Amino acid sequence: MKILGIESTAHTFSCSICEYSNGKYAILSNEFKKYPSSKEGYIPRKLVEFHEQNYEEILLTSLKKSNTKFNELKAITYARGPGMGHTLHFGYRVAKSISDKLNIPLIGVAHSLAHVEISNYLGKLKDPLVVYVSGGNTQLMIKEKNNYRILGETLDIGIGNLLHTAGRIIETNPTDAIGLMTFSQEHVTKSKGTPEILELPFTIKGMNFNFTGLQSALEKKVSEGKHSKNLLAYSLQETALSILCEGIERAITLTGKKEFTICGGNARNKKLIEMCEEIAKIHDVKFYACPFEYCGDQAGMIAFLGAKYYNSKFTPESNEPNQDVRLENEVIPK
Amino acid sequence: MKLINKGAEAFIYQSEFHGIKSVVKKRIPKTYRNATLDERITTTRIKEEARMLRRARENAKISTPRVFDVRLNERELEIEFIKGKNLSKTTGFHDKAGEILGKLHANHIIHGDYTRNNILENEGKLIVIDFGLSYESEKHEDKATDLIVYKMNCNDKEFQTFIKNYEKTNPDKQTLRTVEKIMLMGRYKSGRQ
Repeated sequence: MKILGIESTAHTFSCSICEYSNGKYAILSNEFKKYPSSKEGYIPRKLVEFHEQNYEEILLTSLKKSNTKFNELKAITYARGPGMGHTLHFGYRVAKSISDKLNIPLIGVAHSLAHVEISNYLGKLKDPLVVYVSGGNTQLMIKEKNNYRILGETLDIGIGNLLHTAGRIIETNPTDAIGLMTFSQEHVTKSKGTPEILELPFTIKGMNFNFTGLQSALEKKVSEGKHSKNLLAYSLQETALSILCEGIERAITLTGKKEFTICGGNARNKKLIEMCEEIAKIHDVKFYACPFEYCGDQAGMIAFLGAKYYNSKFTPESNEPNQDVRLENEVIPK
Repeated sequence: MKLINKGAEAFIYQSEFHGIKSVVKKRIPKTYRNATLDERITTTRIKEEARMLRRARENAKISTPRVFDVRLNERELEIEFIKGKNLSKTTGFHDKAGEILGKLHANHIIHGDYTRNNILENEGKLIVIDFGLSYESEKHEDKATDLIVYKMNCNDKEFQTFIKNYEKTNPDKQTLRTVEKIMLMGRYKSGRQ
């Protein structure tokens, strides 16, 4: 049984085919194109224009690479939120028209749940503490019956959003979270002993986070104009990740879970992975980082979650795009 | 020193300070983060905890453990040992718990983790412990957070008793209005405790 997945919640348009046979899920193709990051950030209208130019090619390549014909598809699944309104509606248009044309069911799934579920499936995790870190989200959660329960989360912006914006403020190369990570790494290599670090606000409320304060403090430090880009990048990243890790530690001691996983776009951050490995050692728990190719936004996870929903014969209440989908309201498919 | 509890941030020991029973809270170094940053955070937090304990006692006039010693080099805070029963293991006392939080807030002290776990009862008297997340603030949002944390621990009727007594010592209506406002915000809507 083959399912087509479509992802368009923000900067990436992606299509994927997931096949289910003999009790196993296999992602046969996972094609995507990401809008390049620049100094102006992401403008919704421009993102849609970009997706419009690329969607056809991506769709056809994903079918071709997986040797799939349209009439083989059993269902179409797409990410109905959370995300940017403009781009969500674009994905909906593509998904709805294919499903109407082929007369097969349309399943709108939560993008955030897909991130979590793919990581749990690939890591063969049964009952982990899940740390979901991406541009718009930073959440700590555990499974409770058919839903996830959020233990703590960001009260303003996601950590990914902070790291990305910091890259723009400091003007790293490229001007995003990846540039920030590279510049930060350079600072560590240059230093002898403990690397120098600037004083930035360290706020954490139990297991909830605030990141905007950190951004304003960084802006101030940059405008002072006396610190090197490497030092600024290192200080910001180290402080932000340390805040997150403190929340993770608290959640582990509170819940007593024996395993934890990080997923979402920022689970690719090498420094974060290093820190989590250290936490796992301290608390003697298992740690699993979602594989690189399934961290960022891609349709592989969407197709996978859609296939699970299809198999459990469960369709979510609404298939319409929704910017404010909350992960804890989503039913986890069996 | 006898280890009595292991938390995420600190080890708690029972000890003696010049013949008086005491509790030592030793914060553990975090090896995963920058050593300078770690020391900076730890030092600030130990100092802040001691300061807030003292302020709660002297300004808000509520019962808290006395601070015996602050040893920054050892990452230790030594405070008075309090004999008492944990409120999470008993029922009632919502009126007194409300009155105490009102007093703290009237003095702009935010507890930061005002759960029944952190209140002890001894012969009808309540003693508030663990000021590890405590800070000073005049913002209604911060005060409201304390109230919401307590609300998660009890039912509606109990919370009403709590609020009635809270208002006696902190008559500022704006704080309660902020609680309602926050409860209506999306992030708190469902599934959260």
